[in-house]
Amino acid sequence: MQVQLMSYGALTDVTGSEVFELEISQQSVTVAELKLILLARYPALEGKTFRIAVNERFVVDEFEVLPGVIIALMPPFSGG
Amino acid sequence: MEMEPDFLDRYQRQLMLGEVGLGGQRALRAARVMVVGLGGLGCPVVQYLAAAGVGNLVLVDADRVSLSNLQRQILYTQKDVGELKVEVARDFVERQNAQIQVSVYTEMLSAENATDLLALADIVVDCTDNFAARYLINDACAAANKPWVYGSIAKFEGQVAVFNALMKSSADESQEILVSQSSDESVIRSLNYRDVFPNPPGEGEIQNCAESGVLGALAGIIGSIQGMEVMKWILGLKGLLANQMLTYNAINHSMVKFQLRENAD
Repeated sequence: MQVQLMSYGALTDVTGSEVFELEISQQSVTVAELKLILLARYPALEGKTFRIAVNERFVVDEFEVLPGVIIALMPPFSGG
Repeated sequence: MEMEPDFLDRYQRQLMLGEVGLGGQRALRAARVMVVGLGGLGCPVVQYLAAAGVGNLVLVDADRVSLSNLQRQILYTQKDVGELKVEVARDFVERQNAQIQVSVYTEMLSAENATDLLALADIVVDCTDNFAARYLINDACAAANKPWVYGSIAKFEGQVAVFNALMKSSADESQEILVSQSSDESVIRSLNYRDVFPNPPGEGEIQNCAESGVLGALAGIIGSIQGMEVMKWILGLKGLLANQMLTYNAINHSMVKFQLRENAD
């Protein structure tokens, strides 16, 4: 399946782009499984603090990711 | 509360709004707002709140103005370099709006003084640039049952949210209404920062403006949104960024409101 991935803040430096399509071999994965897929693709995500949102709602690890959704990788910001 | 004789003239542009009016102006006048951090975000927050007639401002910052602040901290001028930010800000507010009571604290917010300082305010605005201060504000506000307005920037992006506000829940989240007093059991607090990010990132993991750079106008935009949320909270307006986090991107001007309440199904 294909999902759209959007990265925010400094995570854009890790993924290399603010918005891109991500191809996943399964037809549905949990958010926990998605994190493992992302870690394999972007090893620099290891140890980074961020939340995952699906279609603009923050989700828990058990949430099921379905084809066509928009995934956001959201870190906390620091500057003021 | 006694309003100054010229208030109808001074606040005419906002008094004419149905959402403000005389009652709203009195609420603004009675409000006590604490601004922690008088940098890029804190400057526009203080300036807009003072201009709108928010009656009591508590300013907390230990820093002095430096030359590198002037690029984005627009309350300060060259002659202020070396002066305490809270004192320059107090002088500014007194010139801008003499009716406003300003109290200033040059100590850093700490676990020791947070409870005493928070007792001086109804709502806190986080304009700090580090996670230690932000988690301290969050935990102290949670303990004191006070709402706080989060704002932060990273290069060309910003985040804003209102944490720990009293809300009356309804089946439809969009119909959530803000309440000022907890008088019945259906009243709940909106999510706080630890509900979103339970623990601070590792040392050096997330850069601040000194490390990653920022264009001053972004601090103005995000600080202005924080000021707007403070005024909406005081006025009891709908649409507060409670249980939501607004993100703004200054390159493509996209704004996204993320729903913070997790949905497991």
